[in-house]
Amino acid sequence: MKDTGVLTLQETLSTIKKIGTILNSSFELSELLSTIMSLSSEIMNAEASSLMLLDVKTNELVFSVVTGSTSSKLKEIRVPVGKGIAGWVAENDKPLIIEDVSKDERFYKKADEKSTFKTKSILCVPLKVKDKIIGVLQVLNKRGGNPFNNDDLTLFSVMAHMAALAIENARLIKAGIEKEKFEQEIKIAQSLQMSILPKKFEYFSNIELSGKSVPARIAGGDFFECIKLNENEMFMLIADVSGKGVGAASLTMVLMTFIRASVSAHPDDLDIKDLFFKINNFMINELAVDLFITVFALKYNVKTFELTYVNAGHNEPIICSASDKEIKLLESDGIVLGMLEDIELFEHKRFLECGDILFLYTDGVTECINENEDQFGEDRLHNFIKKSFDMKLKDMRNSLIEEIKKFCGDRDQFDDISLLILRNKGVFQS
Amino acid sequence: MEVSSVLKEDKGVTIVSVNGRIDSYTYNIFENEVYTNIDIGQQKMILDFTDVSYISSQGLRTLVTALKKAKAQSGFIKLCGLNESVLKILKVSGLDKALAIFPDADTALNS
Repeated sequence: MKDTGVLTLQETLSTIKKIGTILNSSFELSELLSTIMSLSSEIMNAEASSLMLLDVKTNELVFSVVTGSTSSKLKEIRVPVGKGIAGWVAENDKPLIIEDVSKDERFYKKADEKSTFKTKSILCVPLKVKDKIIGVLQVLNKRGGNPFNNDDLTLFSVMAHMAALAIENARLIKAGIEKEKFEQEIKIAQSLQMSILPKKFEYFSNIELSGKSVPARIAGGDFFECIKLNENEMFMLIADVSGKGVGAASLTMVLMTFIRASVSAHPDDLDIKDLFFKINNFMINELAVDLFITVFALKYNVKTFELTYVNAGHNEPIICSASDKEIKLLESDGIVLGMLEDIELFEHKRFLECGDILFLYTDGVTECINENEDQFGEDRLHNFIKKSFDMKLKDMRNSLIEEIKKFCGDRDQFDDISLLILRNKGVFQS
Repeated sequence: MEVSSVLKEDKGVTIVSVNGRIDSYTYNIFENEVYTNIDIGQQKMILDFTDVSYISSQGLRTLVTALKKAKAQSGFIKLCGLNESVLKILKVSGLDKALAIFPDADTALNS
């Protein structure tokens, strides 16, 4: 802007158009901020300019880009909202023209001290998006010696409005790219997690077994395990790591490896309670992560039909009786693992009658919700198991997953869904 | 979900009222409120769950982590107003044994 005269309407419109064209040509945030700064100095005919963005966590303005004969040291300065000229503008959501900063007690000298730049006059305007302050934009020392005037303020305010929208746009694009990268990482973690789950379920001739895990969009930490211990017994486990994302998926893989090694070391004398204490100590002392797991594990003797199990904070598995379709729950009386050093766990025993189904699942099954915020719930699950009791277990699990999807409708699946089902087919024949 | 904190100055206790479901989509709002209270020195907290319909495993994790953080700074976390289904989730996880649970905010405040 010429400091000697007022712009004509035509000149103003032309300048605004130029600002719009330049601001819309960059979507990369740091490049855009530099462009806004150099454009500010050029259009407002100022010796220097600065742009501060609001750090919402600390409520401070942070120098993002500075131009002119200033120092990079300015980037270290954080101006609390309410302090200095810029802080006043951010707090009061009003522009300011200061003709002589030496006469204004609001002036914050720290920036000048850091940069050796001598500020004389300032024009400072808020940067706003949807009525929210995202920062401030200021030009310093109008060339030619005259102070900034109201015409400068009008044009600079329009420019700030356009700059704020461009910054928001660049931020959204950046967030979109990061989200895409994040989702790619999640997919990799998810496929690794799925690849180590058991896939074949043929361990003994007198049991039918089937398991499946359907991960949510943001990978969770469900997993299950089946291991043949010896000629009479098998080990089964289902668990849910609290939390989501790559962290939970990674923890899942570490824990599965730990569990496999621990179980395989004791094929004939596996103590599930002892295993759980080891997992708890491993998580607290070795992993030191701020996550916990709910876990249910059992040993099943295919000759005696005896179940020995421990439940550490996991939702209660179900036994559905072949004779009368009665539903029985396997109590949860232990505490989740990985959070507290002193825990109490209890071992229980039950027997499976011939034909009985043992149904292990994670809370993604019962706690999924539909658009009316209704949960699928335990009653629906129990009814489903009774209704589909005679199906092959592979068909039963697929049918349940379909039913859950149907129930949720357009609502996203927000948690992993995992199922591990066993049927006692009767007398063991080796 | 909505969360708000009110400091009862005479008792030095902050009552955090939570409204809605604490699930995968909302737990970070709840977590942020509770952790911020601890960070600013309000580590004695009563979490009023009267209007909470559900809490996910992430929410439970926040409760236990907050309890640890608060205790490390001589504070406490008390829960109150739990409905039947939220109480059941806590019981199944076993965390009801680790957390102090009260019927309502007044009882928790005077305990």
